[in-house]
Amino acid sequence: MNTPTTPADPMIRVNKLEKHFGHLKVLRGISFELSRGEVLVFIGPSGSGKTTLLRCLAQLEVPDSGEIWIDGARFDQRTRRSVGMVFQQFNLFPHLSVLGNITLAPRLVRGTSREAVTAEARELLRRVHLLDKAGAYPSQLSGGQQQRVAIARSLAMQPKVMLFDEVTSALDRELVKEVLQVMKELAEDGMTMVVVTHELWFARNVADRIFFIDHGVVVEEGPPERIFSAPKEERTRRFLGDLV
Amino acid sequence: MSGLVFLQVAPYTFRWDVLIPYVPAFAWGLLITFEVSIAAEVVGILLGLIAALARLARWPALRVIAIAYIDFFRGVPLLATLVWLYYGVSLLFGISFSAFSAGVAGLGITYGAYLAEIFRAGIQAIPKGQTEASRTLGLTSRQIMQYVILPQALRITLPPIGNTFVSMLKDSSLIAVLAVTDLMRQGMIVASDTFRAFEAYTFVAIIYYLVTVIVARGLAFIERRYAVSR
Ligand SMILES: Nc1ncnc2c1ncn2[C@@H]1O[C@H](COP(=O)(O)OP(=O)(O)O)[C@@H](O)[C@H]1O
Ligand SMILES: [Mg+2]
Repeated sequence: MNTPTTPADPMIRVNKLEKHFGHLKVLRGISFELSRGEVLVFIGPSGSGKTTLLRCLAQLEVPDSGEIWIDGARFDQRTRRSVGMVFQQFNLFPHLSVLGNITLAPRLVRGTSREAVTAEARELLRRVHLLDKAGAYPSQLSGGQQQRVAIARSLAMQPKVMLFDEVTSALDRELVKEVLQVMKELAEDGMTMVVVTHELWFARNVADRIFFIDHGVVVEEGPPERIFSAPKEERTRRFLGDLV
Repeated sequence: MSGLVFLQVAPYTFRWDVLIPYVPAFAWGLLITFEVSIAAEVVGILLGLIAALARLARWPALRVIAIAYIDFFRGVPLLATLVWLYYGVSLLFGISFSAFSAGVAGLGITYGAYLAEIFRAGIQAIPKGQTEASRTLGLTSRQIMQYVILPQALRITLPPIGNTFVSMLKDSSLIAVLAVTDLMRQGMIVASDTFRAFEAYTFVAIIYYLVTVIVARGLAFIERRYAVSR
């Protein structure tokens, strides 16, 4: 576990974030703070803006207004590396082996030696329970294995925050658990995480807080016990009703 | 029917044997054809790659230059380019090209324009998720192109590049007009030496045909092996 430098600073601070695509207002003033090591789960109907929010946090979209602070610093090009992201579609590099996938960015961006990077990569593969697949190519792996490699690849850049966008949605039922398990272990190791998921098991057991988002606004937030047992808002209740 | 003159045409007797003394010359010509084609293909691939990257660059001036290059050399007949390069450039600038260099340059520049579009299509076929994942890992645009996009794009463009080489083997015959002694030129020489143009050109045509078929099949074979071992 990392030792917090300034525990008072939130790890993420998002203030009045707005994002439009043309006339479509996708994010309409999202604000929240997340402490170091906290796990935040976003739930909400399709099209409510969850992916767009994560993409803004990962700097894949430029917000129209609002601010994002990561670990006390205004988020910009130089701090991009402090946020890792895992995608629904894995997006592994098909022309590189598992080890190649994990070591590419550290070698190019952090400038670490090949030996050091390889040792780190092996440690990460052990963490995601795939040490035996180091030499395999993505096409030789199951979806669940690919997604765990994608997680390891992201971790190799030593991010302060990890974003997960419906990372189990493209997986067969029986492969979901192994990925969620790795994410749970990551959370237990103290990683700050923002997770978009429909997996209620994860939301109940790993999340510190749940945000229900609809039409680009946070409708309701709270600890999982309360959100699931006594949602205040009618919209939340209806969404959860549809889910189970 | 008064204007029509009927010629009595004797049945043509092929005299293939007259070609026998020229077999070494044809072989030499074929070698030159391969040299020119390979050199021009390499030039074309380099120019095509540069033009494709310029075509997709963020800087508008680069895109404009690339588009102008591609349009121009796809629009001008190859023969015109070759003649213009060989005679025109030496007249204008006083540089004297060897016919071989002019031929390689003309073929390479023209093929570069076609290859640029092949490379561009290959680059654009790589899913956006590859770029986005690379961005979140902190790679720069150049690093993404070099280490993520191009290695994948080149792999899918190999078959169409192979096809351009097959065409190149045939199109390179145009450099015979610059008096480069390639296979075509040898055919012209033999035709005028022996007064047996029909035999000479038929023989040349058959060799071009066989060579392109063999090369095309060879490339297809390599492609299949490559696809399986991946
Ligand atoms: N690049 C884009 N251009 C235009 N509209 C977009 C774009 N990305 C997302 N949208 C729209 O924004 C809305 C929210 O999308 P998204 O953030 O993906 O929602 P969610 O992840 O919650 O399903 C949707 O209506 C979607 O069609
Ligand atoms: Mg989404």
